Order: sequence, then structure tokens, then C-alpha cells
Amino acid sequence: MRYAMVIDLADCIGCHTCSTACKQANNLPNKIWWNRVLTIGGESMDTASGKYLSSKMQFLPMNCQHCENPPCTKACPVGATYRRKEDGIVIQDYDKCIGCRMCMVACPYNARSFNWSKPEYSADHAVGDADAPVHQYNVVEKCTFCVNRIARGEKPACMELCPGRARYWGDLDDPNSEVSKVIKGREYVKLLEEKGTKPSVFYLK
Amino acid sequence: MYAHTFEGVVFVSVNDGAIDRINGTQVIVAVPNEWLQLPIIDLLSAQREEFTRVKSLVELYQKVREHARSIVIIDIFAYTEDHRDIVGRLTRENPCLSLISLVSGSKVEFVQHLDSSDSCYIVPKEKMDTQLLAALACAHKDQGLTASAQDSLSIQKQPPALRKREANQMEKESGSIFGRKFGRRSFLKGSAAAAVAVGVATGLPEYGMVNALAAETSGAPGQAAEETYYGCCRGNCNGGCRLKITVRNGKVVKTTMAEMPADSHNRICAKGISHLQRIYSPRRIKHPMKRVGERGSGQWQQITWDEAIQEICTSWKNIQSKYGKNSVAFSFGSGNMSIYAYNFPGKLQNLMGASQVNLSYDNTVILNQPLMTGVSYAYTANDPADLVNSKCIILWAANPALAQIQNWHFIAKAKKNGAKLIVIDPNYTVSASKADIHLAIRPGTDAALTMGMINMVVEQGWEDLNFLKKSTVAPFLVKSSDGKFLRASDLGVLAPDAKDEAIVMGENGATGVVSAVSDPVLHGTFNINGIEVTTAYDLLLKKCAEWTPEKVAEICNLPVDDIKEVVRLYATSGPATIYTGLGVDHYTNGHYSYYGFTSLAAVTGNMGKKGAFCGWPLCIPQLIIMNTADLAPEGSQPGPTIPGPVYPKVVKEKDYYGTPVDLKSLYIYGHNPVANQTQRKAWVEAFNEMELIVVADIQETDTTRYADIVLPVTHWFETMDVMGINSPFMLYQEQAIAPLFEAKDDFEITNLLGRGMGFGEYFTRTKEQQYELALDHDHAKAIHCTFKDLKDKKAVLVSPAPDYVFGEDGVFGTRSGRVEFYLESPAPFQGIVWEKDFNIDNERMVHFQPPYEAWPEDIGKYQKNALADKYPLVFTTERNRLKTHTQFGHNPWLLEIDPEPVVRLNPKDAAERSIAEGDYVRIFNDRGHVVVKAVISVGVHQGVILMPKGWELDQFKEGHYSDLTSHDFNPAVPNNCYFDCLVEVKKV
Repeated sequence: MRYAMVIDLADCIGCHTCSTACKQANNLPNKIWWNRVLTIGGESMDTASGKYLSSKMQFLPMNCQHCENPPCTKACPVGATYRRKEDGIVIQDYDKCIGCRMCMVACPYNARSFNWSKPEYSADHAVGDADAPVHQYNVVEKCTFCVNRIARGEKPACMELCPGRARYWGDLDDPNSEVSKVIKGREYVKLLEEKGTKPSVFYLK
Repeated sequence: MYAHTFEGVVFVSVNDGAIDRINGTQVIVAVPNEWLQLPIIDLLSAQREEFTRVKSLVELYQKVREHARSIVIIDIFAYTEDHRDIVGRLTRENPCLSLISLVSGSKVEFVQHLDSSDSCYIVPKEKMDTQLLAALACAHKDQGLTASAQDSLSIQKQPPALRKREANQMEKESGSIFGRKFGRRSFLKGSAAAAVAVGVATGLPEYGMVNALAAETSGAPGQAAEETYYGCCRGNCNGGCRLKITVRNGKVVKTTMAEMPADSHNRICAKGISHLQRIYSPRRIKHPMKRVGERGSGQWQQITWDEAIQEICTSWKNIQSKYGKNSVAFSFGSGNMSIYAYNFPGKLQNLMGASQVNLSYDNTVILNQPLMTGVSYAYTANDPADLVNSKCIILWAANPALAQIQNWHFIAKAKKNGAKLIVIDPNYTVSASKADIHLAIRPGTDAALTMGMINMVVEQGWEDLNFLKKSTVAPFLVKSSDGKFLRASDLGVLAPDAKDEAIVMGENGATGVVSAVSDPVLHGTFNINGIEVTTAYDLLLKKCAEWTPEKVAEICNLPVDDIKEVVRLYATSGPATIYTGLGVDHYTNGHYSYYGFTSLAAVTGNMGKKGAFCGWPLCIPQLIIMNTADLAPEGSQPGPTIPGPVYPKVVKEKDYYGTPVDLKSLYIYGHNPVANQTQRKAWVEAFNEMELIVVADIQETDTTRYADIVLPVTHWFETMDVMGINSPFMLYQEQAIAPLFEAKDDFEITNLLGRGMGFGEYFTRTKEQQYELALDHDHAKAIHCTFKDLKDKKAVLVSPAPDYVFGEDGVFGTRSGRVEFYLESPAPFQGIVWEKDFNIDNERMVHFQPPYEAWPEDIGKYQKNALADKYPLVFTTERNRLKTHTQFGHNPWLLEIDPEPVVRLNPKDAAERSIAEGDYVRIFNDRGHVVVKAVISVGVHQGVILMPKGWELDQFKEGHYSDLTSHDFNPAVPNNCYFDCLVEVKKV
């Protein structure tokens, strides 16, 4: 079994619903985003590149790529991050993490974040899923593919509803899964494949 | 009594009275090592805490068994027995005991096992001096809770889970079991709390209890039961999303998508997900407030609801008796799209004879576009779901990929089905980035383009003659004398009791009423009984004739070939759609553009079919199904409806174009006009003439800032409600949580004000009764959409189908039932003679004239506006996907994504002004200025600047962008013309 995400870039309109759904469900602390929507264009969000009257702009939702060959796990000196053999999810064990941030340097996708101070929240009460991860000071964290949600048969929060219908989720090893079906016959890219990371997030062109 | 503050968490500890003890609670210390016992005994003695020491586990088990209320302080790893067994045995002996486990840093890896105990506080031994008493205080609270639970429920020993649930319930009900000593959320012990403690203790042994509790209070989940409620988002964003609202411990913790009856209409967005930040915002208005300082100074005094209602009503009565009934005005916006949130106060306005200051946002779309088509379930269009059937979609002045995102996936699917996507917009928008062709049109010239396109269609023979004959006014004969249609009455052939139908000319040269002539001619000028007439179609073509491709190319600044290609695709691809947006509405010539869109669609027959419409796909089921007739009680007579842009002028002149109106009071609800109307400063100045401004809102806004009395309104989840707009379904909102603070909904506030004004007999119904009444009619019953149906099913389809097609039977919503691209009787708004000329000849059909102000260059015969010498740039805004107008604009998550207002400039315009990415710039004209960050984008039209909208005063470095815009408008339609605005930009 290998969990994977497929994102159809033609359908992504950069609405930030996926990233906000992740922020809410996982009760992410202030300034922490496991899932961000980048603009491939000008220097700022929602700006274009190219020439006047022949411009280009594309959105790129980015989360942990859950690589089959993850550089972060090799960088971790204490084994706090590892790839689960049974489903391919790259796990971050907060209890083992010593906050050295080697994994952040190793990750070519800038998918990991670090709690530089005690996690703070905009709400006075815990929000999101009841079993949302407990965030800790001095610990690296990142997208978990919502392990807690998929354990009870739900989809990751970002998959619950993409307004653009651009996101697909499932088991790559299952030929009948949503992800297997949607990539069949379609041209796709995986980010920075040349680094040999073998990501589990597929971007349809 | 003193308090320690640990990073925001207040522990009140030690000294008498600080710890609430329940009589009969025993504290047992199970610490075998004497060196550790000593500091504990010292701490407890200083608190005059009575305690027992036990020497063995056997003794401990016996003690807890004997004593119902026990707190055990235990060095859990000091015994040879496994710690899990100890905890298990203790909780079996006494499920109600409170357990404080002492652990050392070296044992933290075992601590996680303690979470199964459901009764742990964990205190690192190194931190006992500061944390043990805090934990003990919590434990005493727990025991007190258990005691009251037992007393009130007569339940002695319960499983911990049940006990906890009850405790939560009690906490919710009494709200104060834990008192205020701990300042924050109660430190309910339990597995979750323990798990948190474990996490923190494990990660950082030198911290411990303090952080554990801190984490628990601020971030970690409890294990409280979750409740789910269904509701809907009610902003005016074109979303109308059905939402699932998750509540824990009486607080909203999550909003997610709730399934619609048709899953193609399932929807949610980043704003909808951030609702809880609106509910629990520090900007919530908590109580009725009365201004005490200068107006706008932000100094308020809390008053009661009774005082507020009495003060408002007394003042209104005085004002009305002194200045006339119409001196009080009501003003609402689209802040809450539930029909009774924005309509119900209108009942009081009617009864009081008060005026209305009308929002006048998007009036060309609301008032003019429907003149030619009428409206139906999806306004002037098909349901957005029908977009998938289209083979060519023109997004004209529309940017749904950013502004109406729930419609986007239909467009994307059409594209995948082979449809061509064309975007006509000055700027390269998100939608344009997905298009096959983007026409970067010169701002404000869209009507010219439509006329050029109609010419090209005719030249190529791509007209849909059958549609023109059957479903438009093309064959109608227009009298040259008065511009009206020739009718049966003109020829003296009107049969008694017959409809005065239009006359058409048959192919055989015989005239007849339109319903009797099957094949009317489309062209020709005739003399019929001495009356000179021409077909409406010929008049349209004549009007368009001057717009040659070259002339259109010059005016619109577009390549001829691109226009031709767009015409070819639109006219020949199959069913094609013009999805009209609100961009062109924002110029003083906006309504002409909508006339042009409709004319182009009528000529090509791209209306009234699957995959073909021309309009704004805005579902309006509530306007169709809800009978709100009782809001205008018999005999009630409201004052004038004054468009927002003339409000400042009316205040100054005490006259509304012939009607004496001395406005002295405003009641503003669901509306933030100060931030959203054009020419903000004029509004604020007019406010100075008001004796009483009352603003009812959920949160502080730019408008509440200037109020004399502010009333707290419930958040949408805090009240039962019904909404049916933006999707084809009527949606039911369950009350998910109790209103926070003293908030009341607009319905209830109206009832209070109505009774206060002496109209008690009209304000006797509950909201449920009001909805029952509105949905108690045959249509509602036939489609199973009575209030009871809604309450049961929570979402009910109102239109005939979720992919409804407007005019599929060839009949549209106009007087003739046809698409009226020629208007018989255009008139200035409300028949008023405005300052500017109303030329009826320009108002019958599509027409081009440059925008009044936003015309910075001499183009063709059209001379530039003189202001352009000082202010050469056209100021435009675009929707902000993280805001609905100004709503959601202060939600922290959304501000993390998009923290501050920016202006986007084309690199050429930026370079000419030495502006670099990230520079702060001053945008200014004679009306005002604003300072924001500059962002460079090659996608912005040269000579145009673009600001994502929805920001408020406190978010700008200086000034306000609404100070820049002008409240000038076209006499055909008073409107907020945001883009008809010239500015200059300078680096600060």
C-alpha cells in the first residue's frame, strides 16, 4: 500500500481552501502551514510571469511530498522521522525529535516547519479534529497525510473538498483507486525528481 | 493569594481560599523516598493542606477504596510494580480519584503509558515547587466537580468516561463550576490532558506540568463529545455554501463542507473554514454600546439592551416629529443574505415611513441587465452547473476563478470536454491564466467591442435567424415617431380584452400581431397606415454599423485578428455562453456593456439552450419561493429610496431631487458602507450631520467606528435561519451555539425596535412563525419546501433542476417574453432629472460612450478627461478570495496568507515611477489617498493599477482606498462606479 495525492494543476485556482482546511483540522499553531499554495509567476502571490500580453501564472499547492526515498529521514540523527513501510507515509515523531532541524535542511521542498517558540493559537480553545496532533515547542513538524484521519477511514483534510475539484487521494498500489485512475493516460510531473526523492505527490499538467 | 503567570497561563495558588477544598476530600501522599517526601510535606503544610502518608501500595489501595474523594500524589516509578498496573488498580478501586504523578526527567519515556489512567496530572519532580500546588488545586476542583455531580445526579461511582462527559455537560450548563481562578479553560483531567502532558514532558523534560497545562489550554484537543450542526454561509460571495459545523464544549471548532442534494454543488472555501475566527474574534461586538467620546474616537460605554432600545426609539420619535418621518433612514447591505436578516427590518422602515439609503452596489447588473432578459431561478442565466454543456465560454468582465470559485469547476469541466475558454478583461486574471484566449481590453470599452462583434457575426452570416424571429424583439416594428413598438392599438385592430401585442411584418408583406405571424421579416423600413416603422433588428445593426473592426481595435486596443477569432469561436463552436461579471458595472457606462452582451448573444442565438446563456449565473431561490408580502403592511408608506452615492448630497441639500428629506438618523444593519461605498470621506462628512447613527453588526467595522449606538448581532451559527441564494437550494441553519455575549439576531432586534416604536401588533411572531408564513403557499407545498420540509430535510431544491436552463422553452422573463435587445421605454432612475443629461436615444440599445473619468488618453474622436494630466492611471480593484467584501478581513489564518493590502502595477508603469517590488507607495487623487505596498505584475494592464479589495481603515498604512473613488454615476442608473477613477502613484 502506498498513499498518494494527485493534484491537477489545470484545475487548481489557488483558492487556499486545501491549506486552510489543513490549518484548521490539524489545529496548526500561528504561522505554521503544512500545506501552502504557491504562485509560479511573479515575485508575489497572484502575480504573473512572462511578457506583457503573453503572461503566465500557475498555482502550486505544496505539502510534504511523502517521498519514497526521503532525504529528511537520512538527515535525522535520532530516527525521529521515518517512512512507514506499510503505507509510505513519512512520519515525524515529536517525542523523539530533538529540534536540530537537519531534516529541514535536507528537504528540497521546504515542506517542514519548526516551532521556534511555544506554539500559539489565534483561538483560546483547541480547534479542528479532536485528535489533531499536539504541537510542541522546539520540534519540527509537517504534513502527516492526516494519519489520524485516514486511520479511521477518512480522507486527509485537504482532500475533503477542493472547490476546483483538483485533488485526488488514494492508494497507488490499488489500480482501482482514485489516484491510480486519474493518472492513467495523463501527463504528470513529480517535483525535483532529479534529486531521486520519488515523491508521492503527482501533479497533472 | 498570589498568582504565577507561566507564558499566558495563570495559576492561582497557595494561601487560604486559593484552593477550593471539598469537605471530605483526602490527600494521600504515596512517596516512599523520604528525601522526596520532605519538600512535598513542606509545600502541603504551608497550605494547611491535610494529608495522609502511606507506606505501601496495599495501604494506598485500602485508603482510596474507603474514601470516596481522594487525591493521590504518587511517585509512580518508585514502586516495583508496573506503573500501568498501579494506575489501573487505583482507578478500579476508586474511579473518582484524582491522581498526581511525580516523574523525573529520566523516566519521561514511560510517561506516555500514564495516559490510559484517565486521571493523571503529571508533575516533574524538578518543577514540584511551582507546579505541584497548581496540580493539587486542579485536583481539588475535580473532586468538587465529582462531588457536585454525585450530589445532583445521585450517582456514586461511575466509569471515568461517563463522569467526564457529565462534568463537561455541567461545565457547559453552569459555565462557572471552575470559577474564574484559572482564567482559561478548565484543567479537566483526562486522557487527553495526560497525553498532552506526555507530549510536552517527553519533548522537553525541563518543562513539564506548566507547559503541559499551557498546551492543553491553548491548543490541544479535549475528548469532549462532538456535536454536529448543519448550516450555511451567508455572505454575498456567490458561494452560498452548506456547512457542517462541529462543536466541542459548546464552542465551534470546525466548519467543513456539508453535502448538497446534488454533489456538483458541494462547496466550501478558505473563508468558510475560518468562521470560528469570526465568531471568537476580539473584534466581536459584545454588548450594546453607546458612544461617549467624539464620534469616531472609539470611546464607548456599555449599556443594556433595554437602554439601547429605549434611547433609539425615543430619539427616532423626536427626530421624526421634528424633521419629518423620512428623516430617519434604514440602510442594509449584503452582510447576511438570509432574507429576513436583510429584509425584515424593512417592515419597520415601512411602518415608520422611514427612508432607505440604498446600497447601490452593482446596480447596472441588478436593474439594467434584466431589462433585456428578465430574471429567473438563476437570475439572468442558466444554473452554473449548465456551464459543462458549453462549447465556448466567454468570461466577460468576470473572474470566477478568483471571485466565484464555486462555479469554476463547471468551467474547468467544460474545458476538459473541449470547450474554448475566452477571457475579456483588461488584466490578466486568475481566470485569464486558464483561458485559451485573453483579450486585454482597454478599460471601459466593452460595449464598443460587442458592437464590433455583432457586425462581424452578421458579415459572416453567423446569425441565428430562427432565434431572432422566435425569441427576440428583432422582428418588432419600431415607430420612428416615438421609438416604441408598433402595436395592435396603433393600427386600431386591438380586439376587446386582447393583449396589445406588437405588430410584425410577414414574409408575404402582410402585417399581423406577433403571435399570429409565424415567419416575420427581420429587415426593412415600412409605412404602415401612415406610420413609419423599422424592424428592431435593423435598428440594432444600424447602431452597430459604425463599429468596423479597425475602429473597435483602436478603441478597445485589441488586435483585429484576435477579435475575429473570438467571434468565430463564439458564433460557431456550438452552444456558447457569455458569463458576465461585475467588472464593467464599475464604470459610468457599464449598463451599455450589458446591453451589448445580451445583443450579441441574441444575434447568435446563444441563449435559452443547454450550454448557452448570457448573464450572471446567480441562483436566487429565496427570492422566488419566499412570500414576504407581509413586510409591507397595508397603509404603510416608506420614505424615498436614496441611492448610496447621493446620500452625502441629500444630507447637505435636505432635498432628494424634489422630495424634501432632512436626514438626521441612520439605522445600518448588515452593511459596512463607510468601507464599501465610493468616496468614503463624503459619507463620513455626512455622518457629522446625523443626530443618531445606529449600527448593528457582528464585528467592529469602518462603519461601527462612527456610530452613536452599536448593537451586537449574532454570528450566523448562533441562530436558526434560512437562506437560499447562490445555489439552487434553500438551506436551513440550525442554531449551533448559543449567542455569544449579548448578541441578538437582526430579526429579534427589529422586533424590539418595532415594539419600542409602538408597532407592537406587527411584531408578534417568532422567527419560526415568520418563516412558516413565508413558505405557507401552494408553490412551496408543491415542491416540498415548506418550513417544516426545510427543517426536516435542511436543503431543498427550488429550481426545476440543479442544471436549470433559463428560457429553454423560448420564453424569457420580459414583458414580451422575448429577449428585448431594444428597450421600448428606457427611463432615468426613478424618473429623476439628474445633473447629467439622460438621452433616451442612447438608452434603448447597446451604446458606447467613454467612462466619465477613467479615460486618460485621446482615442479616436473621444477626448481624454482633463484630470489625466495629473492622474494618468486607471484605478481598479479585484475581488479578494480571502474576503467577502470586508467580511472575514480580520481572520488571522487568512491574514497569514495575505497579510496586508497591496497594489499591483505593470512593470512599465512601475519603472516610470521608480517603484520596485515591496516599496510602499502613495496612491492619490483630488479626493484622497492611500498608502500600500507595491507588487509588480506583468499581468496588470499598462496604465491601470489593480488592488485586491476588502480592506479596512486599520489595515492601511495611511488613508483608505475608498477615499479615491468617485460617487459620480450615469443618470440611467445611480451606482457605485469604482473603476471610473483616475489616480497617480508615487513611491513613499
